[in-house]
Amino acid sequence: MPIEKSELLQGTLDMLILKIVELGPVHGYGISQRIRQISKEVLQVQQGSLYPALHRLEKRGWLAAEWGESDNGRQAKFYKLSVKGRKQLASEESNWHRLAGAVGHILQTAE
Amino acid sequence: MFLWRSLFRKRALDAQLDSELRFHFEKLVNDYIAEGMSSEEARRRAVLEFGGREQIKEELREVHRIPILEALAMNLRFAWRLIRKSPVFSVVVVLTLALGIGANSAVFSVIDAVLLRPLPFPHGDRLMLLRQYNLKQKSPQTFVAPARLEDWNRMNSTFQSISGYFTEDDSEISGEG
Repeated sequence: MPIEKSELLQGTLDMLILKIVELGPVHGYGISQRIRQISKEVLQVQQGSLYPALHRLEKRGWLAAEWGESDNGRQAKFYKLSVKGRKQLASEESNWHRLAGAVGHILQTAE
Repeated sequence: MFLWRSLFRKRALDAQLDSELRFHFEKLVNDYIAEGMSSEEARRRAVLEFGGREQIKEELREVHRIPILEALAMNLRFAWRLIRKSPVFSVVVVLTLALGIGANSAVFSVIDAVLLRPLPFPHGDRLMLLRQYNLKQKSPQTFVAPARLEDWNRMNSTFQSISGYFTEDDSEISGEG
């Protein structure tokens, strides 16, 4: 059964990355895997958007990066949430819920 | 020094971007092999999925690029901090530079006049400038009347010959003839 892939809304990728990274230090490959698995294959992030986003978030100080050994013994760059990033994630999450709630309201009322 | 460091950092950054992306790429290849593909097919699929690795790297470099004016301001602030940190040393450096540059340009002016651009006459070292002084006044009078120049030439026993030049026409005599 083919699964319909959905485009990510502008600006939501940053929030998803922060949310995934909140669970613990993870490398870029791990992030893309988790986004795919948790979204049940609906969301798939291209490397061409994932890495620029990761580096932007790191430069803004929302993510902290560290090189470490991955499970297969290779060196990988692990990202984890900084204190600033945690605050940012909280505000983006509440913003998102408010927005989603408002859009949902309109869709229901207009039916 | 700051520029030097940023050049080094650029190379280090490139190496980091490369190994970060390669790690992801090889993970994908391993995934496809685990799904039962041949390693060649797996590599091909991974390349397809990954897209242009160079293009992604260029985008990442763009993220890390420091705007040129900001870099300039950083350099200036850094220089100023260093100067303030050791003022005695800075003064010594400035004096050394000033003396060095001054002495150098003085020596060069001599070399320029004597060796590089000598006067357009043969035996430039035997040329002399003659001026006349009015002892009653204090300043030298640089103007020599042509008639006096002829006198000088007639009575001359020291120089091979004496000649004159004028920078502006100071003749007080006008009229036909």
